[in-house]
Amino acid sequence: MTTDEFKQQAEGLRLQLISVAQKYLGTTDEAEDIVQDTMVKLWLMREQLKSPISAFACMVTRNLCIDCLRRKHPTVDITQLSCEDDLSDDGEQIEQMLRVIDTLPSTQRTILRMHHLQGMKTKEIAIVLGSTEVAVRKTLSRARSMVRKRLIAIFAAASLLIGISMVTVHVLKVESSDECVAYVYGKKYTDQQTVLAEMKRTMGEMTEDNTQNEIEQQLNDLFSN
Amino acid sequence: MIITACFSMLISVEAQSGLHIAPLFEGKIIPQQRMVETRVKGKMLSKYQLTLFRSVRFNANTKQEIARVHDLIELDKKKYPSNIYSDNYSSTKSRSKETLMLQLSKEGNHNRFLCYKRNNEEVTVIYMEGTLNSLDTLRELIK
Repeated sequence: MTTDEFKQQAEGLRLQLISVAQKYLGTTDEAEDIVQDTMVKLWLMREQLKSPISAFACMVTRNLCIDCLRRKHPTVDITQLSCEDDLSDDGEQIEQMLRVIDTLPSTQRTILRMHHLQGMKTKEIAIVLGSTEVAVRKTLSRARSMVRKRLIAIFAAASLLIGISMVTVHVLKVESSDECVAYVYGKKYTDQQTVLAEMKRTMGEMTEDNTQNEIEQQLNDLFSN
Repeated sequence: MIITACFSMLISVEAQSGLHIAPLFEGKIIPQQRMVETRVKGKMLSKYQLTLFRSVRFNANTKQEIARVHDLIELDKKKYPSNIYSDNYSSTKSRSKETLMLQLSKEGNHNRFLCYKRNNEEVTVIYMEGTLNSLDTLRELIK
């Protein structure tokens, strides 16, 4: 590809590549930097490139975005994390989605990537793969559905795990916590001395020797009949 | 949904649940305003080799109240018939004074005890949990 040809195509590509980068990094300056890096890479290898370069440029942008996300490895104090944070963490979600996409059958994976990550239209994909547009759409639909199902399963499993952990923590907390309370005709007492005195009184009453009582009882029962 | 279900299950699970007499501890038989209720749990009980102590004491207003509690105790006695400590108690005939002490089946590593005492209209029911081996030991510890 000549320098003029490259300049001509690069002009039109810029906006498309920014849109690809923003899917990964959001509307940040970083997305624009990534596109800039892509352009530099393409420029350096322009002599080996063949027209059209849009699909290749999208792929380079995507890879640079993933590299950028991996480099970041954001660390946040676990106590400051909430469910909302997890859901709004676009980078994590995209990584998760890419992992799910990698598990798809090869045709579905290829078409999904070409359409969503490289920005190719179904018609273009059909031409590249030597298939029909209808077939590409069907495969695309199946692939999306499978990704959706697998993501739901992953999120459900994660939620269940969080739930179980919370319940376990709660149980441990409840089990280990002390309680000392007495309700005397509806009035609450939490003073340890009062409560323990009441407890000891009740226990003592229950465990006191009943031999004398038993004799009296039997006599009472005998004479009352 | 699952988490909510787990939490609601957790809230409803009380140590003495499973016993027929459990509603008495929940204030479902005698209103809380008429009872003296004690709940002690944790380190304070280590002296008595216990981890949980719950008791209710009240004066019955009617013979039906006495009969109801007696019947529930009777059901628990039938459920755990082999570990009876004290049996100054009659299943069929209601005496003016009666005492029953039961050692229930273990829950985890804890021994469980249910005690019932009635002196005319005054009724006392105790539920205890802990490493305590027998009520005879408890009697010694209280002295």
